[in-house]
Amino acid sequence: MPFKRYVEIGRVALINYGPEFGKLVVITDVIDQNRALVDFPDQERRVVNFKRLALTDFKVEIKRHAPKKDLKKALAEADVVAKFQASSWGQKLAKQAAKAATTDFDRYKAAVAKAKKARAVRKVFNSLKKVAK
Amino acid sequence: MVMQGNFKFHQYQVVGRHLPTAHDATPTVYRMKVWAEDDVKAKSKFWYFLRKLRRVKKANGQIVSCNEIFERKPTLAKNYGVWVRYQSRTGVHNMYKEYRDVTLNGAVSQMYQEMASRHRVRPSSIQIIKTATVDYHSCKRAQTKQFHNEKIQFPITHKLVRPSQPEFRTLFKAKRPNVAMF
Repeated sequence: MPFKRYVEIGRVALINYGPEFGKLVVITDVIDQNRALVDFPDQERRVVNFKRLALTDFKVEIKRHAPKKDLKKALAEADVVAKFQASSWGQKLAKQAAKAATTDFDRYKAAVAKAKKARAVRKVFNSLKKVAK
Repeated sequence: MVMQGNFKFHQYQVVGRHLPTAHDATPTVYRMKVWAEDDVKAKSKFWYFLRKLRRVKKANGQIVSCNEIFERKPTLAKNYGVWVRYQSRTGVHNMYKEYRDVTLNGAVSQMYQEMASRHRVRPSSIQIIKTATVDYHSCKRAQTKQFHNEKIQFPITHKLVRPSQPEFRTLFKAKRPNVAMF
């Protein structure tokens, strides 16, 4: 099976380990086999190991070691952040975040709604079962 | 500024001279760039090297200044050449090594690690003759030259499956890890 996501200049990746977990970054340079220089608007340009990066499907057109201004423009043009959040991966992350942020009252409401729905379904099911007998 | 790594070896600029004497009231001042774990060891190394080069030792000399040298652009990937003299089990050898790194301290740390692993040379047996930033055309080693591609592209062939935090590690897992990348 051929590879679809490559480490390359402009590749958008997600940090999946460490104190910066969950941040989107763009690879602006490859230092060596294990490390990349990574950058994003409102983040400092820094070195990250590939072991901490999960490559996404998205890529922006930037030159090697692009300045922040060019990076911002390229990201805005490609609208990467919005596209990522609309992708199934992004939606999954959003759902996980929403679930983690629920309060006990929200969970109670969800349980009540689930029970109500189940009761309605069972009512119809039982009536159909009685007819079938 | 983002701290680029925790370096064991730091670079110091040590400036020293012989003490002024009746014979010579303004002795020549010498400056050395030295690699050491801290400034105390840097000054010690300075005297060690200067003793071998000039007729001066710590007892009849003085340190004028000792400053740490920091990386000018710690967010720019560079090629570093390190010239090294080391004592092996059977003799003394010179070596030239190249590293891709973001800071000179990082490259020198890589050098110490590599010398220890490849040649079993301990840091105390290594003398750094010279370090330099090597430009792209002068690099000699294939493993640094392979990253000199503007359109570099390679896949990550093996997905690293690990929990996002060490607290989430469990001894048993329900499924075998899926390490496939596409």
